[in-house]
Amino acid sequence: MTDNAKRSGPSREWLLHIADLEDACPSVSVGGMACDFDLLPAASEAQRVFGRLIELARRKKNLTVEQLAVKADIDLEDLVEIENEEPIVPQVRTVFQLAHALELPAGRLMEVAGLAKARPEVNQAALKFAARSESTAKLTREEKEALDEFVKVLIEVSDGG
Amino acid sequence: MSGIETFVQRRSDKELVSATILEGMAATDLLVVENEWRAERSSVMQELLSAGVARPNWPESLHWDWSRKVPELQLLASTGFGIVCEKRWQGVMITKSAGYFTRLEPDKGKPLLYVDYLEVAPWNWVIPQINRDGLYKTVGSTLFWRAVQQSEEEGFHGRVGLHALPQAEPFYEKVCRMRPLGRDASKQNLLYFELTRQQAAGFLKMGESK
Amino acid sequence: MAAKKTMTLNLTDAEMAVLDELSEKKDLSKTAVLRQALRLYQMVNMRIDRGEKLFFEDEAKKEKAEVMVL
Repeated sequence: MTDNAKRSGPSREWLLHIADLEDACPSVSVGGMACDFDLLPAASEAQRVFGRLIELARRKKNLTVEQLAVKADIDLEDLVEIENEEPIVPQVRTVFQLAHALELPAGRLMEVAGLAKARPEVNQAALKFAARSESTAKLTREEKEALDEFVKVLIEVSDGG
Repeated sequence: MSGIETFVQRRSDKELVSATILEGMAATDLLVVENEWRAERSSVMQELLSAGVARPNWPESLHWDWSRKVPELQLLASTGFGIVCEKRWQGVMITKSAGYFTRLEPDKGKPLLYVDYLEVAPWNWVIPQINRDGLYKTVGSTLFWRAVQQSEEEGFHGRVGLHALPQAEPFYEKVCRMRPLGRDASKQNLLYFELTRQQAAGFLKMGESK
Repeated sequence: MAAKKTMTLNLTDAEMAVLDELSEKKDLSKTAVLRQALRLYQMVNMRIDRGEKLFFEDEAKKEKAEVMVL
């Protein structure tokens, strides 16, 4: 037992007053939780992997950046940002459109893009992919293998629910 | 764990419902919190995706995983608080009572209570874009009230410091009456707020009839 | 706050003087100063055990010195 037993909480008047004030300020989140949990570096890792995946999938289809932007009906600027792996979280619509244009499972692509909590299989495949792929103009045999393997996992995970 | 009896306000009918502020959360409690909150967070995310809400408008704490905070609780300086109502964790806070010092005069350099993490359960979130009103109000405010009280118990005279996530900045400035003191590069550029001992006294007395 | 136990502490005059000075400077009771010291010592040790290092940095002089923690 502790010496807390007799303490009381805030008064009813205080609670009613604060409840009215809260209406204007919905969020109360505090913390360096994002930094302590390395969530932000994790997000940029997601952007890096997502950017590489989109670039390789585009090159595999022999599309230029402009052609893919038209095909997916997204802003060319957004696509360039994604492929340059800039620290910007893509819009949900952009990811859906790219998934459709590149014939990738949209749900899993959301996970790769950091827009949805990634399943362990996807995370693992993404890490492996990131480690294997290098940025070069032409798709090398290794890059093609890395891409194929990653896409295979994404599709398998989708099928498996 | 020790507890303080209190109330939270049910948003639907503005009734004050009995609740308990618990102090001294253990690792297992955080795991229970994560289990209870994870499912609701997934629903929120699904609804946001279906509604096509842009990522910048998503709740900023959507990706938090409380179970990863477990090692923190081994520290003497860390204390975990939670509010339980109707057998569910409605909000959680972790404070640090050593290693943080006041930046504002006249108490500059003296210790303060640092709120490391504070969040309410996802079913209490207000997200207008997907018509979520939140079940209970006053959970976050009451946790902050407890932080001010802990600061007094520690001999810090109600001084409190914290880094708020951008969407929560108005809450700490307007409701909690804290002073914003600039962004910290070492904390992902989050805005740092401080409550002086004078502001603390005012905060605890809010709503008192004259 | 958890239940507490009382103990007697033997300090030299010099140690007592430092405790008095810190108590005054930080506006804390002597017990609170010692409690702060214990919490910080535990925190530092935990991080050292994880393989981290403790440094003092002087921004003006651009100096950084590692603190040895025993």
